[in-house]
Amino acid sequence: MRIGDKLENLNPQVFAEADQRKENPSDWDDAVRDPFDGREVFDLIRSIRDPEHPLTLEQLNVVSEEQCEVDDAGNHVKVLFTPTIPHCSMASLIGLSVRLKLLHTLPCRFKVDVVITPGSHASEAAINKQLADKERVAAAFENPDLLSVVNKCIAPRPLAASVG
Amino acid sequence: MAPASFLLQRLKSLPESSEDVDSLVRDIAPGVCGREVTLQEVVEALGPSLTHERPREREVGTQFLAGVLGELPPAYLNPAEASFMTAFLVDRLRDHHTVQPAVFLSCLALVKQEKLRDAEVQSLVEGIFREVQVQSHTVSDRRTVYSFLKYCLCNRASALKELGLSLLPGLVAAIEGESDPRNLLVVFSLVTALIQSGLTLQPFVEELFEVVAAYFPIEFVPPRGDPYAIQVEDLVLGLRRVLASTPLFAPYCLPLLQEKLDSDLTSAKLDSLHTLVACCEVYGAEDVHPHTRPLWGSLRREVMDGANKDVEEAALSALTAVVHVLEVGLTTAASRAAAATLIEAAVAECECHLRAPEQRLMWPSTRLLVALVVAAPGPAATITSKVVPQLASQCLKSDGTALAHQNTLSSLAMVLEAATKHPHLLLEDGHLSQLAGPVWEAFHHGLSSDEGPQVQTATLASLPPVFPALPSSHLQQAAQELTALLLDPSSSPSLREGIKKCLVRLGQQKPEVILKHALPPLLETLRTGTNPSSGESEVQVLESLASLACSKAVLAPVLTEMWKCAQTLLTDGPLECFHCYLSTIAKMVKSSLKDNESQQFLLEEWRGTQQILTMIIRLIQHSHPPHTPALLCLATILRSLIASESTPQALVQHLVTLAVHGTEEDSGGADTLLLPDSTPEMKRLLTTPLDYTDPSGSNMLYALEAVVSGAQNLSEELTCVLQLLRKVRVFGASTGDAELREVAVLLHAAAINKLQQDSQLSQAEEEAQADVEADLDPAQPKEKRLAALLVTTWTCKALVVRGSNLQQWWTKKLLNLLEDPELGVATARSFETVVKEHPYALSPACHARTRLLHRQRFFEGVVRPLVDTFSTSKGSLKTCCQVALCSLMPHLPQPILAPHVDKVLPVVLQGVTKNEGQVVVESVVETLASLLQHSPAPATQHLSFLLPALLSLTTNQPMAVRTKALECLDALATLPTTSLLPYRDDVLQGLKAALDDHKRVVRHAAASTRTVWIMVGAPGGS
Repeated sequence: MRIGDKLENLNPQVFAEADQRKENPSDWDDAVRDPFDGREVFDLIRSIRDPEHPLTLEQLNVVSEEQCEVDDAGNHVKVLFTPTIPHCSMASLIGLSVRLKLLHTLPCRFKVDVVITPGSHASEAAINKQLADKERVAAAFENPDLLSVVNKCIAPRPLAASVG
Repeated sequence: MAPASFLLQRLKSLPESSEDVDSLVRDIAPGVCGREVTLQEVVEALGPSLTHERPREREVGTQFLAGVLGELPPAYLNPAEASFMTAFLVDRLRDHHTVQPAVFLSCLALVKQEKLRDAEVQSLVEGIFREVQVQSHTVSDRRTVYSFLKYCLCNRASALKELGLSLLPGLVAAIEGESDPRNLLVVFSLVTALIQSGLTLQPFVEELFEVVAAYFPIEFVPPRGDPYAIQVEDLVLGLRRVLASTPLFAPYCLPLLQEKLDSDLTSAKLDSLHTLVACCEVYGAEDVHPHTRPLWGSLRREVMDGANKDVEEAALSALTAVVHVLEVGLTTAASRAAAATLIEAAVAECECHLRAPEQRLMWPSTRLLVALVVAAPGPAATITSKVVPQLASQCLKSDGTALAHQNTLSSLAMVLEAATKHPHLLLEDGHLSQLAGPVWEAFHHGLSSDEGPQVQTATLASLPPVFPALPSSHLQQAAQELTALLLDPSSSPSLREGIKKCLVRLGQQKPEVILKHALPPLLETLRTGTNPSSGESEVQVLESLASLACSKAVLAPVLTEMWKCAQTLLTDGPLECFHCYLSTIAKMVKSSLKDNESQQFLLEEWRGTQQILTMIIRLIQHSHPPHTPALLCLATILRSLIASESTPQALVQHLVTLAVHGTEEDSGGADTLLLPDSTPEMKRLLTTPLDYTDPSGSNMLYALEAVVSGAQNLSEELTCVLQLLRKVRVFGASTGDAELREVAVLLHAAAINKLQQDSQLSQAEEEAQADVEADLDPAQPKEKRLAALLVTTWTCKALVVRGSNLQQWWTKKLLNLLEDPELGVATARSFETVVKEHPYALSPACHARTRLLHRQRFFEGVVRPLVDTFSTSKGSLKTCCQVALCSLMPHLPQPILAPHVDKVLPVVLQGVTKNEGQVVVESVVETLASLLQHSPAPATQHLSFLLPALLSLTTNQPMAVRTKALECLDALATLPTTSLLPYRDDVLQGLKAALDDHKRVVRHAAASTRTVWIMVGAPGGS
């Protein structure tokens, strides 16, 4: 891949990463139940890699803690993501990566919605519809080429290039 | 030996006989070497073979000749014989192709003869070039030819020189098309030898280059079970050595590297970049400059893309190497111009990215500039003069975000740090000192920034590497500001940590700045006392002072002041505060003892041992019961001081004698000698013999343990050691205080370890055996038996550490105690103590007699009995063996465990079932996790049992077990995909429950383990 060849956003803004989650003394007490919260869902998806840059979704501010909503009792998770530019062609791929990662790592009792932050993308409605359509998502994961690209984004590997 | 005529007869009848050539050579070679038979006679006797009509017989004859030639000493042949043999072999080269390999061997043997003339070497080489199609021969025969040629190149270069233009085409034809990896290694070394021999390569440089460059980049997967174990690295390095062996290759090599660098293969890119670095060490500026522009294009692309960290780093080092060649050494106007153009292009591109510090390309740009700055002083001056003022002014701007500010500061520090590698830029009138003003301004602004703690933290992290670039006046200012910030109560702990690190670095570079500008305010704070509401800040000040005291100049005032405060606190202040001072002093003493000057100060000027001993006695007198943490702290200081003393014998002798006998016998006024200014009360305490019933006197054991542990050895003159050991054993068995009991046991172990290897040791050991046996008697109360177990464990450790054979009885005792219903589990756990490193006891720093690999020896000794007992026993003994093994393993290095994994793993695995006791499961899973993380391979054959067992442990178990079981599963996912695939779906299904665990820590482990398992065999995964 060459600069200027395929990249749509050549020089994206890189944001500071959030600190590690602050530990609570009760975290190590087996008798206390830790509820699911937005931070936990964010921790699951923050390390997903961007399909075109050697950066994580967190570094590109595509996902953030505030945009992860969790209703533990109601078994509902909603994740908003913000593409770096309004015409980003990778938006649906990013959405699929987030969906797949959450599908793998959240208990199946949760209903998960992955949607684009309102007003941040030109084809927001179309992509949201695509991501909400269970069958289309399932069909996408049947496609080995697509699955391979998505797996490369979510695979637990060290980050390609360092920032700083 | 058989008579010569008989041997020659055997030779004559060689064609029809079924004789083994090798045994024939063995029989005849000694005769030839001893000149009982001449070589000519041998050749003549071989006549029927060598002239036989069947090529096979001729081959056997020549093979025999090669064998005999190979056995001859190098000075054996005279010129006439050498000439005769040469003519004969050159003629033989024209023979049938099956005969040729034997001729190659003969040539190789013949060329090692010293009397062989140059002309004859030439005719052999020419004969091979003329008559032999090297590539049509087998792998080993080709290798013989290469070895022959390499020998000629290395040892007969003058002969080959006269071959002139015919040498290189012949050589190229011989090696062209070689495909065997083992032969390629010889070919690469052959070509390197050719280039190093100084023979002229013109006009065949390109041909020679092409014949080896055809292999670049090397892709080679070693076949399984390759007996020669050739690795891809061997080939890569061999080829790289050839390509980077002469500047003559530059016109062909650099375009090749450029081409491979532009390919899509990461391995090719990496190999090209590493080869480029190697080439730049040999190629000159004249060779490199025509290729500068395209190389820069490719290198900058790799860095800016940043798709792979290794490629990025390799590209940066290649860039540094290229610019270094262009700028340093023999340069020309053209090369300097090429470098200048490159630098200009780089600065022009990177400057604009540096202006957008929040965007991705800021970092690659900084790294490119850093690589250029490191390369040579010229580019460093050009780049810093343009970039540093720009970055410095950017830092002062107030319109950017905090992240932009942080990034700019880090980038500035990276460039400056790189520039400090060129010493003359740092001189007073040097280039960097002219930039120092704006630079300090930028950092000063960062330190006092109100944009949030992140900017201050980033400033503190970036500041230390910049210190060399700043003049003293700015450093003084830095010290003052940092100290003020440290004393500011509103500074956060992490910020203070950063400040301390910064001050320490400054102190290492300019101790006088710290002494004048940082120390006075800190000491003043200590004297006047800090704000009473913040006890924490006092600790901060103490810790800061301790970390700054890394030279004698700083240590002396700091220690004196702190000691004075501690003495006051002992009588007037809270003992917690006193302890806090002592632990700071302990830290300071520990780090200062590494420095010779500080050590001398502590021992001689400050008279450390006396000061501490006095303080221990005063503490024991002053408080009832005494503050144990403070006592332990003082003992630690005393131990390290004694360990650094060159002659502590007198002190050890006195203290031990006093503890055994008191003053009555043989003390010679030791009390006054030890502590000249002591009060009568102190003297009484010092001179009372050790007695567990005396509440304050028994506390002197802390001092005694410190002194004996720290002593370099226990000299033979120390007659009362045996009495001391007896006393200490009684003390340990009788005292009710657990702390004191442990101290007594450690003292006992230290003394056993340090005794001279003679009758004294065996007597001490025998007495200990008898005492322990009596105390371990099942009729004794449990408390006493546990105390005896502690003594047994530590005595065993003391003997194991010194590598004494006497340890056998003690190891056996421990193994036997596993059967004891009362002490079984405690004994199993005590195996850990034997192999686990203690912070100080029996450590080399305390002069313990240590034998190398003692842990390995102990483990090797107990592993088989434990495994055997495990497999033959039932019930609690089985469990104890399991626990013992599990407590041993975490403390042994992987190389020691590796040979036993197969044996131990089944034992460990049986513990991973729910029906085992909780104790077993916990320690087993923990051990298994660390075992699997290091060497998962032996678990492959147990997967069908292990995976379901581990999955069942991920639920309904204590949190630690659930987490460790998940870690085990995570480690198992690194096994080859083929062995995991059958279980993948079951594991993924089994992990679902853990994803909804009620503890977040477990859920986190489950999520990462499941992600790893999902990737097994998935497209785009592993």
